[in-house]
Amino acid sequence: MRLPKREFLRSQPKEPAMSSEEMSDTLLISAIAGKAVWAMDVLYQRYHRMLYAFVYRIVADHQVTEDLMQEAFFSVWQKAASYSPSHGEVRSWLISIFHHRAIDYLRGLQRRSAFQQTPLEQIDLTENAFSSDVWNETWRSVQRDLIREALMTLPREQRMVIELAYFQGWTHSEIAEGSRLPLGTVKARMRLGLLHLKRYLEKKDIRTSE
Amino acid sequence: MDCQQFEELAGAYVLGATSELERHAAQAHLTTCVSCQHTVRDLQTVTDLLPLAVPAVEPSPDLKKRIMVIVETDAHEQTARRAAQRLQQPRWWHYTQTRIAVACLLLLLILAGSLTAWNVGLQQELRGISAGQYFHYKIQSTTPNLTISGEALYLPQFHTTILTIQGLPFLPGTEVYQGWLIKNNHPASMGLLNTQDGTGTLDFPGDIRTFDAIAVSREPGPQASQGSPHGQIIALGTLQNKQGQREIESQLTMLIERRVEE
Repeated sequence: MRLPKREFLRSQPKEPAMSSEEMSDTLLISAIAGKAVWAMDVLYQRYHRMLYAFVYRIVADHQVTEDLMQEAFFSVWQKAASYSPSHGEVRSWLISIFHHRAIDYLRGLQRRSAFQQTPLEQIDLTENAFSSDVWNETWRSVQRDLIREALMTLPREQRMVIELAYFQGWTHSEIAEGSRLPLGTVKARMRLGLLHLKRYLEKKDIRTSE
Repeated sequence: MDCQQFEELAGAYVLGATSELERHAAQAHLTTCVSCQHTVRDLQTVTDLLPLAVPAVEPSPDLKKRIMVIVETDAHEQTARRAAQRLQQPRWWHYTQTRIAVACLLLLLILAGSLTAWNVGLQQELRGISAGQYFHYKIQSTTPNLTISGEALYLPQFHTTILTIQGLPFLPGTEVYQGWLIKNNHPASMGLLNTQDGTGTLDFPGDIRTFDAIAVSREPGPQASQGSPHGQIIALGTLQNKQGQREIESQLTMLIERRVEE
């Protein structure tokens, strides 16, 4: 048997106690993997507003949004042990879970017969924009304005393919067929649009890297 | 799929706009291509910001209650299942009917007790979260060729320790992973880890702060080893401050050397 290294034993200082609100997302997910109910409560408080607004933007129905939120949070509770930091940040993992739930719902409906729903530039930002947490909502509002501003700098055709794919669940083939564009053009617009966004946000000092 | 094909598909891939077939092909390519993994990470960080662009919508206050009730019910059911498993011994089928009846009765009592405790516990948990504190200890692999890591969280408000270890190799046959607490060179079993997809978790009802170290060993199984570890100690973390570490280091080394001699 290999003995533990002395250096390893010296590198284990006892960490001070801290409040659950200060816990990192990764620690919270570890606690949830250990079936700690309180950790789910903290995670919900931390992310529910952003995730609710996101899912509602996709499905445009409060009852459906609530059902999907319930399913997705329970999925987080059940699958927390499968999360690995090497796969990315917890926020990214959560967004992926909720996005898939919402898009699967839309695709299941098969009701996307036209490029429906309100495009980003036509959304009334004051609609239902109430939050009990004034500071968090103010900060979110600043971030939202900056990201919307970045989206508005995209050429319209690039913004449209990103909108249709990400918020309305269209595949590249469906977009190509619906807009009568070559598939390669649609794929290129998606890639170039995202790269344009990345460059713009980096210029504005919005963190886009992990 | 090669790098050029992936590059063309990368935008659609991170937006979730590919076919199932393309997604699988892309994922297969990503497992072998570091350069394309980097491309995905770059684009993914942009798509992760898109949810922030949508208007704020406040969910119903009842939503949290609905979600937490489901989570708490599931947590309670899992606790009950674990309690039931503990009652089942390997020679279960050889037990007399009387013993089976006693075990069932115990299970029912545990379930009834847990239900009561659960109701009280829910209120305590909700109250405790805002003022909740915890103690965090890192745990690392004892063998350099294994990427095992983890942590132990002691939650004073619940008098519970949660041990989580990641990167555990798959175990053949009846082998199991077992947690240990060590004090003055004497190990005490914490129980077996529940493992799934390389991640092991253990919910230990107690305070670990009075111990010197926490360890995870690989045991022959299927039952927990009694007394001291019978197999290799694969991960370890100290639970004391720096002043006490030198002494603990010496004690742990002696413990492991004694295991080697046995």
